[in-house]
Amino acid sequence: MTSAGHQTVNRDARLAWLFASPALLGLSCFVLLPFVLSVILSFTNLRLGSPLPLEFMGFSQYQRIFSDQAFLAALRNNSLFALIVVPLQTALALLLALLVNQPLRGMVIFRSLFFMPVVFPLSLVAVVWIIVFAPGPQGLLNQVLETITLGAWQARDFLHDPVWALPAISLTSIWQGVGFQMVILLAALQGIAHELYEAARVDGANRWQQFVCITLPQLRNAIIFVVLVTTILAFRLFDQVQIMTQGGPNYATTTVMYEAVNSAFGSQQVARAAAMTVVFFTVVLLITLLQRAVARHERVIE
Amino acid sequence: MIFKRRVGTLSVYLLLAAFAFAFLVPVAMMLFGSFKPDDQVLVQAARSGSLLPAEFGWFNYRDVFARVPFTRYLFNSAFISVCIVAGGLLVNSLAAYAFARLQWPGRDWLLLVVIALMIIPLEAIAVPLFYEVTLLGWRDTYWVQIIPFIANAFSIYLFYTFFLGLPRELEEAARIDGAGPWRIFFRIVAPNAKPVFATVAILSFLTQWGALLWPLMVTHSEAVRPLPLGIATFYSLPPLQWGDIFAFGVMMVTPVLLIFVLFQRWFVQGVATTGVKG
Amino acid sequence: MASVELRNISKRFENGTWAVKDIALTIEDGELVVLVGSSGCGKSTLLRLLAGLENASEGEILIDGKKVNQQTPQQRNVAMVFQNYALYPHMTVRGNLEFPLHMSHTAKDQIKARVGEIADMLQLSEIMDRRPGQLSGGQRQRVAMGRALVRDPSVFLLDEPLSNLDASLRAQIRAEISRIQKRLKTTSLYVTHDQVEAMTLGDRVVVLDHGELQQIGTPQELYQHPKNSFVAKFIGSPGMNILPSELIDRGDGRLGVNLGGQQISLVLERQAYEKLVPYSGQDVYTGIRPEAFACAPRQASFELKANVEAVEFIGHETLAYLSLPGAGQVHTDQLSIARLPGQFNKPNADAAVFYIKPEALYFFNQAGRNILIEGTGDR
Repeated sequence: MTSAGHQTVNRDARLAWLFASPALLGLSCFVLLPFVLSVILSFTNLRLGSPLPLEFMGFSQYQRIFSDQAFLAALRNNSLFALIVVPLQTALALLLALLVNQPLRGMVIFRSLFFMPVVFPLSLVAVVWIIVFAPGPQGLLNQVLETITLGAWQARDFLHDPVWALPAISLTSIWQGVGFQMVILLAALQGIAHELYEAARVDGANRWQQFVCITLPQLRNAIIFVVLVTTILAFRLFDQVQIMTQGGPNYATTTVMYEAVNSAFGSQQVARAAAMTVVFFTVVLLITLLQRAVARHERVIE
Repeated sequence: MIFKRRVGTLSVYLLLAAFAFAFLVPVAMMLFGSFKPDDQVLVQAARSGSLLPAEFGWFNYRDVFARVPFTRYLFNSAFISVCIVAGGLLVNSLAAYAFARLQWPGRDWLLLVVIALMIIPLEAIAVPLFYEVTLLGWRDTYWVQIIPFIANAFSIYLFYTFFLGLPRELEEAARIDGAGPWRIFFRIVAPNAKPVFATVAILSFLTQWGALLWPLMVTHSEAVRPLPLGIATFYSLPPLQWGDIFAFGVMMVTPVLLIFVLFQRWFVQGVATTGVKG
Repeated sequence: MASVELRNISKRFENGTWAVKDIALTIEDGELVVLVGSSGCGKSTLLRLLAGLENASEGEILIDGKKVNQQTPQQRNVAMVFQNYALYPHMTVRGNLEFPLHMSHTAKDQIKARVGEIADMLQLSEIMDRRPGQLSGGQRQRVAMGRALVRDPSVFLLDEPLSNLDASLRAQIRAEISRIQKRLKTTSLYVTHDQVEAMTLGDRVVVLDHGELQQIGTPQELYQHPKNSFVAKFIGSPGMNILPSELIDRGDGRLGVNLGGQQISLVLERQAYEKLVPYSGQDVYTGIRPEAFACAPRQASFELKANVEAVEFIGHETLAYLSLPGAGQVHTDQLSIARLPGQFNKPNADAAVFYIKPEALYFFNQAGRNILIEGTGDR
């Protein structure tokens, strides 16, 4: 009778391969293969249009990029960008989620409003914010700051200022992305059982204590997820830089992806760019593993 | 007590209004700027009361159509996004169904590979992928912007977790009623998985509609370039005319905003699910 | 219409455990057989094997004498009602009823006629255009039945079809299932964990435990002649009390039984006596149905003293929880239960006296086999 079983299994298996193969083929050709290539190429000297023969170079591409001022600045900028954006954006998203979660009229409108920039293409957002950061006393942000500080603010050219360029890009990114995080946290907020708050009220906890002892712990997983996604996005930063500052002034806003794309297409140094993306991938992998570890840690406690 | 609650409500609304203002100003600036003569866009951006255009005109919009093939960009963006979304829904949901419900050798470790591929962003493979499509001779086509993005590990994962949660008995009932696997998938499973199809459609649409890096790498002719590249080139096209740029931006974002307003519930729900699954 | 035969069916899971083991069972044409057992006993697996949703590891399945092991559910022409009904949520009631007919490429006018017929029989005509989500539990149940019956299946399978219903609805639908099955005379296999359902519905009842068949028989046979202590405890509400005891040869040609220190003399028919004699002087289990206890002496009854630990008054009867003196402290779930008519008050004294007829006693050996019918069974 086992033959009957085998036949069904075979039929099932053929069908499964039929169902899965288009996607698996796509993933292997356009994700897995390039990824493997990326690692392999990073150990070579490949340069498009170069007359030099393809050679295995060991780690020398890595040695080169890690002694390159621009690439080191890019790594520093990505980290700094993450340090600014992740806490600010998460805190703002949480604040907005808490506000929008109030049982008041019109909250759906506010929710849509805060979510709206998410559907804006980053390239468009970047162009719009160039105007917000326009130099001189006529620039929007300069004028607002001047009004707020009663004239004490000295107008400046944010995007060409080595100190202010990166924070300006950060602000743009937060404006565009905070709605995404807000919606995730809002869903998590609404998933908290009402009974928990009722129990806490019976136990005499005030609003603040309820927030600290119930809301935050219950949101823990959602917050970890939001932080992870924002961090990874911070290391993927490219569009805003490409449009707003081209990495300048003086490498103040260059990023790993911007350097990689520049190496590949500016100077055709494919191998060098591949090495940069491998570094980038390693960073993303480490962040993900860290998040997994934190999340697992929690499961053990539960 | 009531007084205290009123104050609370009022402060919530005040805070919300302040944030709403901050969220709206750049959008309003773009919208109003698109009706202003170029020389006034910058100057009047923030002067109180002059955010609105002094005189209202469509000249910037006419300019856009005169200077760049806007409709071409729009069509390209729409065509590319729709192909990726439609192809992706079909291909990824079928694969996810195979992972979630069918028995086949190698299934479990292949699923692990797919989950691992989720964390590889496009940026990390862009360079060799570019090299690959160059070897294939695909550069500067629609297909180079479509085919690599149809199969998507994250979409498979979203479908997979949803299918796991569907009651198995539905499919068994259909089997007993005489339906084959294809029919079970299209007539029973898919109609009951609408939320996840909507989620995946929206997420991949947003990603593709805004894509800049990849089109920038692989295209150079206007005939196949999408909107985001349009605005990037437009921005670098001298003379820098802000009114035109804003008119371009307004036209670029209006279709997405319309879709967003129409399918708001799905957008919000879709994004919320990614957090729950993560 | 068809008969079903399972020949030594076994199913082993990938981890090596047996879901069902060596089951042989015949369902006659038009018969309603109930598979009963506690959860995890393999009854649902057996149903799914017959439906063709799973493959047997060993054995043969025959429908109408033809081997169907390799056939699809459709080829077997089986229909099934699922525990959660598994109605297609995106289709109307009509769509659900039509679906199996569409799958078998039935002609349009025939589909219409057939669906109308079923809808009339199950009183679904009013709700044909609603979706499952808009129906009550009882209505969903009827739609599930309708979808299963609409294509006139050879075999009708029901997997705990009443377990998602309110207690009040359950009895009503149970009666309806019985009525419909009698009318259509469709060969049916019905799975439940509820022995009351099994006893009231089944022409014959199959008791399963740990994937193994314990006994097949009519409800009366299972109640009066349980083959082993498992069936004895499982059938009846509450089930039979099984007490450790010792059979004694009293030397005068009579046997006695020692129940926790109380000596009871047994008056036995010759046949029973001969079966029990080999066990004299050995430890056996004595079974007493809760219904066998009485408060007043009856003809030829013997006395049994027991401590009344608790009583539950249910209206028309009282359940008394008993422990035998000398048995020491017993765990609550090891207390014996007596079902006494009317009201029974917990006595002030330590022990109460109950009267039991000796012929109401059952005896099981150490392996749990019923000694009185040992060897006569066809197992």
